[in-house]
Amino acid sequence: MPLLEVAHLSKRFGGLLAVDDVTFHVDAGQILGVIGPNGAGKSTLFAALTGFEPASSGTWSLDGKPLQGLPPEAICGAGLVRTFQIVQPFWSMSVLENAMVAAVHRATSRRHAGQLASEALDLVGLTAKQHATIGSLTIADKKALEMAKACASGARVILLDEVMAGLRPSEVDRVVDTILKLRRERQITFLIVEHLMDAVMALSDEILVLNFGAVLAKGKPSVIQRDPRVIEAYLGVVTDA
Amino acid sequence: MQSVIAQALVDGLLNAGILGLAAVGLTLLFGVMRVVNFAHGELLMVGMYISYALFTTFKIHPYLSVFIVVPALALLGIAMYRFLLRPLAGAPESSQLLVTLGVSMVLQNVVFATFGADFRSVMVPVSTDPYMLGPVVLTAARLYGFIVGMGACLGLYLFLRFTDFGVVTRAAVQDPQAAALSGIDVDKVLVISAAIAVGLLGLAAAWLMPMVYLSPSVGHTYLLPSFIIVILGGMGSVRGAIIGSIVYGLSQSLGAVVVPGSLGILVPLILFVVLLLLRPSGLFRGTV
Amino acid sequence: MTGRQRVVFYLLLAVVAIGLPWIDNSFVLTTTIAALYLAYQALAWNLVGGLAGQFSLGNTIFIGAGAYTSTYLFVKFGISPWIGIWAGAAIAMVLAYLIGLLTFRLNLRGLYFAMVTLALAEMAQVLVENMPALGGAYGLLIPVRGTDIAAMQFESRKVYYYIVLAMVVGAAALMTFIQRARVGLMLDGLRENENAARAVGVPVVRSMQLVFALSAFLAALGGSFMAQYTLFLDPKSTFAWTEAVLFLLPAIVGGTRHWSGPVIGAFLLEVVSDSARLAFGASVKGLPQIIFGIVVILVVMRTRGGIVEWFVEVWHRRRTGDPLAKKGGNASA
Repeated sequence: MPLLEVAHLSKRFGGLLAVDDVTFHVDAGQILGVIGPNGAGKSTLFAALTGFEPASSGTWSLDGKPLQGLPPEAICGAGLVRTFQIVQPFWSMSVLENAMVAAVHRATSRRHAGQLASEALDLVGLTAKQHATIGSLTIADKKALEMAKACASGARVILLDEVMAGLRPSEVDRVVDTILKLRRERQITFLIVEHLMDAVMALSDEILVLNFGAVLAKGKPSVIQRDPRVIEAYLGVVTDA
Repeated sequence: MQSVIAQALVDGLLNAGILGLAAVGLTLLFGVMRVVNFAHGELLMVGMYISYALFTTFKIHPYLSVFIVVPALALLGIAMYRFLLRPLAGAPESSQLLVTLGVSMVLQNVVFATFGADFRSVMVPVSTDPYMLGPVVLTAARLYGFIVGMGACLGLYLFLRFTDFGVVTRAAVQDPQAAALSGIDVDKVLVISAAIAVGLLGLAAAWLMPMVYLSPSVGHTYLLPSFIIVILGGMGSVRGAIIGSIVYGLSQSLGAVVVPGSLGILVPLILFVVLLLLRPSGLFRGTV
Repeated sequence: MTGRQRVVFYLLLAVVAIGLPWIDNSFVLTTTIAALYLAYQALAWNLVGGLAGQFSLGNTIFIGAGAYTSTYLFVKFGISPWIGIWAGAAIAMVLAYLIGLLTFRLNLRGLYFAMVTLALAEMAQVLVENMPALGGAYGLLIPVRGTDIAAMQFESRKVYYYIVLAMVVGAAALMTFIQRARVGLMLDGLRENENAARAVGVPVVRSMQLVFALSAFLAALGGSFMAQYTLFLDPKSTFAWTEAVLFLLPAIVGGTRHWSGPVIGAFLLEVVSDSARLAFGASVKGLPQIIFGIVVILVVMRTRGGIVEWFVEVWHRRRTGDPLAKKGGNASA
């Protein structure tokens, strides 16, 4: 049952076609890994889907509701939320307050926002640090906060943009656990842009490969890993020494 | 009617020279330091009062006063950078705006306290000497103002574009860290830029003296136009300031012809708002 | 401070505020009224400038809209100012909405927003100067009626004092209410990082429009009050950018996070202004403004959020004995 459907999405920056006629769909509860070389258009795809960059053409919808042309806050309201590659917390506020800002648009009161925020923080394991300042957080915590914010805002589909970048292996495990937990307990669907192949291949139900802005391949991880086009464009081969 | 429009065209173009000179320092400061200098108008005003004082005390012709006014203002610019702007380097943009706002209040009222609010003027032959271009009258002061103003702006443009220091400045603007890693003394670049930016105001001040009435609030008359020119031309762009000043100057003078009375000022203001909506980032990007 | 301390403090404040006119000193009363009006307009500005973080130089447009509407309706049609002020406030809100469409919706922020509002204020001044019906450049005079409640005129200054006191209390209450409501949280987020706020669903433009309209509403009521108090109105002194700056200074100096910031800032600036005038009188003109300017520079360079916040931080540091102590979190309320 497709939850997110994207049809012929293109984004042009002057002469550069950053996203080229991308069409795919994501089923409810799926984890879709998005991989590709740098400059393949992955972040631009996320920016276009969430309204931060106006798409040059194409349509996409969440649960049948068309999202093209809407501003980011409306797209978030519909349930499609992104995290930022370079974390963007509200620096002068506490962890809890950060999550509360994310929750407030769908909360009936400030107190309700607090409740929603607490629940989200609990899911990502930040409850102990809810009153901490952003400055005192580790990078892993900051990334967890990004996910908590997305969750608190009521996301049904979360676009994670290189959330594992810069983390130690133990921290990466924590992120993987959180993603699986959010899927299990909140039925959240994920699109994950990542360069950590092991993690992405293990975590994703399907992989979408982008190259030069266009879809190169989409399929199960085991199939993608053996696809010669993908290997040539991005994954590389193991050569005999 | 034709000659009225021709006169307006010429006046507007000539005014652009000095307006551009006043604005170019502002755009340089923003481009190089990301500083919104609310004291810009008042700095110009201070330059004008120094020129005035030199004239009344020592009978020095305003044009010659540049040799004192420009260094004085350059020093003022360096002081402002060193003591007020540099310490606020990491602070939010509003901090610099507010600090320069404070500076403008201090400057305006120190001058007010020293000279009073009366309008003063400097009348020298250039103030009224006319050149004739067909039916169009060009006052000498205005013509010279244009020549010097545009000349200085073009000079700055060429300087930034083609000289070593210009390249170094642009590098420091684009990426201070990379510039520092390349061995560029970013602080020195900023100090010199501040000196140039405010020094140019001194030049404008001296050349404006024969043309305008002076009062402590004259600075404000140039503040909004300067910001409009800078925003329309593209913040930080010298080329933009030159073109922007021509657009502003022409819209102001033609507006005065087309729209009666004091309503004429509405024309450049409305044009500003409309152009800003159409193209918020202005005409050009970058420092040059 | 503790709950009980707070109650006592406010009680004392209320006693002083209500009892002040009985000091029977015309100078004290006049300057307090001036300070309260300054505080009121500073609170109005702070809704946009402080809470939403948008540096507006257009508050004079709304002050003028209020003042001119209520005055015109009274002078030309005999409509009581008690009704006229609401018409003025309504017009101001419409203007705010339109200006918001022009600026917020089209993503003009920071300097651009400041300059557009400044340009619009200049336009307003020129337009009014060229409208004979509104008195042109000479302005409007309100016929003196002694004490005439229907005309909102009172012989005794005391009445005006209580009116402006009530206005300040109302504005402070509105500011606190906004901060504590859902929209306060939204404003905190968008002030800090607009893109991040949008990404999590905060309706940025709508929130900004809301506080801008409320700010205009308050400003207009204030303008009407001032017109009734001075019985005179002219474009130059109403729309001058020095007025716009004057009304934002208290919030900058005192602090934008709590209603006490603009209030304390206003009283501080008023005290400085009057002391300077008394001490140096005519000999050093413009001294108050020189001092204001220096105070602004010092406050911006030495404190992060104005005098009140600086004070709170120092107090907090003393109490916990920890030099690095800082309350986690900076959201309002």
